[in-house]
Amino acid sequence: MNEPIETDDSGVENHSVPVITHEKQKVVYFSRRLKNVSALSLLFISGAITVLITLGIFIFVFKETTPLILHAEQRNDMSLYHNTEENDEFERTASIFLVLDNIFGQSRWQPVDDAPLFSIWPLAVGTLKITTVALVEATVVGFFSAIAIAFYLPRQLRYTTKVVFELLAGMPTVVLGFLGLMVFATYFQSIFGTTYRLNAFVCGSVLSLTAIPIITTLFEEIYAGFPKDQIYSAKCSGLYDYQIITYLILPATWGKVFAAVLLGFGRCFGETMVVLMVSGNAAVLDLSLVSGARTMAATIGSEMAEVVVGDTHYSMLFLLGTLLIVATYLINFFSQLLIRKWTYD
Amino acid sequence: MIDKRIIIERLFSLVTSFFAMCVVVLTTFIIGLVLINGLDKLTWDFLTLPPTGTMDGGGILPIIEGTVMLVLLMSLISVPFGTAIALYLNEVSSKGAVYNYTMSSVRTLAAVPSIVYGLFGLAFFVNIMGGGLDFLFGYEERVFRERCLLWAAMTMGVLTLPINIIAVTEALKMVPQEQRHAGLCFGYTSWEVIKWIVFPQAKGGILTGLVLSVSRGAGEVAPILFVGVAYFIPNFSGELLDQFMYLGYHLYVLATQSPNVDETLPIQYSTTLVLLMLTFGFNSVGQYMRWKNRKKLQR
Repeated sequence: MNEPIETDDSGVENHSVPVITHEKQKVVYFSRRLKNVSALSLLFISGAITVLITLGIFIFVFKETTPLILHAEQRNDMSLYHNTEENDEFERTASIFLVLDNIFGQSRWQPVDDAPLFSIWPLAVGTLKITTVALVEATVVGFFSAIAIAFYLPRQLRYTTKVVFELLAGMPTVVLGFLGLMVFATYFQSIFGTTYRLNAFVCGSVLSLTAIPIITTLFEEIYAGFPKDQIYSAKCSGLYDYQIITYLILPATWGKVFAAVLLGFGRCFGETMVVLMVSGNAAVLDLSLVSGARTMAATIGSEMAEVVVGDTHYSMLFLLGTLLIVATYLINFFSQLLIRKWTYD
Repeated sequence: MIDKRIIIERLFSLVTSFFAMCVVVLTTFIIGLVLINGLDKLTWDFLTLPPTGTMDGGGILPIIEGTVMLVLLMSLISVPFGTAIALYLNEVSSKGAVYNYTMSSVRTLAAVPSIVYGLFGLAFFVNIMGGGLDFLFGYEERVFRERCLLWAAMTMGVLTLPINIIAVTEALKMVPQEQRHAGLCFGYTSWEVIKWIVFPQAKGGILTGLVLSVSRGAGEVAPILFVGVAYFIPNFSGELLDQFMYLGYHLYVLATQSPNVDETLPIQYSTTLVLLMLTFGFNSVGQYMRWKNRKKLQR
């Protein structure tokens, strides 16, 4: 501190340093600032691209559904009075209400037909059936597993379990679908003796395997974000672990728990490959859990490859996609809202 | 008299551990099943021969080639963009409305169902970008407006964008704030701080994102179902505007649409094994890297 700073006044080294004139310095400074501004704006543009993609996914998918309303041909295709001869007048002026009648007023999905039926209800019911089964199983198993990992498992086993859950999260869904189709469905039928080998319940069970790791991870994050001193003081007061969970953690994190379940729901109902392979692919309006079913995502997956671009069927499949997007955006919006509301900092 | 709470506690511990162990056993069972059934058919010939006409014999060479090609192209798109977006979010943007909006779009992108990405790929990449390129070059017939490898790779690139963003963001958060301030005090511009101080330390995160997105991309089938994947092409041309075969799609086709499902079952298991080795291999490498990076932070 008290020693003077050593100065280099030999002068030998200084001669090797090139003399920087004022003008040269200005040029260097300017080029550095130019580089800075251009690089930062490039980064800004790529940030903007994310927002554009999020909007663009909705816009471009929705754009392909508009012919259903805007093109007279497709409106006529959709109208159920299309083939009858006495309705010539009707055909020319098929209104949007006939389109809506076909989508919401009927009860069958028969896209390849002279008078195609595009009722959304069989698919909606199928989606609801499969997703409910998957979500209930995934929530129960995921919730309990997260508790076991956080509180009860011995340390070494805890680590192994976490690794296995991460492996399960990285499992391709087509592999799960394949094993569900070849192995699990047969086991299920031989145990419960159901009429159909492939049904909504088997499909939901296999589907829950994709959602379990997600829900477990989200629950673990909730636990990790919980103030540790509160947990320690509860333990010091002599509370058992189950009391800490039910009296302390759950009441303070209900919103986040619900958000985690919502995100699991979003994962389940958009899943395609498992449903395509295990659900039995029957688009029928049937509330039974042990009959075949089909979700909206699986319908897109199985029919889009064979469809003519620009067809009525094509637009209809894009309408299903639009519904999926809207549902995803809503789910995400509400789960983020819940998480923000239930976070105290 | 035993306390009631002890019994509940024991019961609770048993039930929760039972469910956790169920998942562990099930996952082990799945992997074991694929290993046992898939190993005996997994020979060198299986990996280096094209499949035969009815798909009940031969190997999976063009399928592996198609998968590797698509995954490479995909990472060429998603890694630079993901890195740039993560850099913007963490280094450039002020934490205001723009930051919040971009962040929530990233979260939304991560939650969009993969089949919707397929619709987006068909509607935007194939129809609009492909159609636009055809119009630009003045082609009468469809050249770019076809379902092909290029558009499939771009679709997959958009799908894996959030994975890259999240991985790089994690790495960027581990760079100490003091180092950035020190750089600014030396008279660095913001870009020079990113280039010389932040970026070299975030390289691990970029690599992690690459590995994880490869693992995810190789396992996804739904987004490319109708953006260029083909049922059967015995010789993979390697050209961008051609259709291609894909490992996951091949498994799906074999399991649901081949004429004789039972006879091709060994091939299906071997294909599954190759797919699992690819995805699990990359996934475990990525998770290991992530774990190592986190450990570095704790020190």
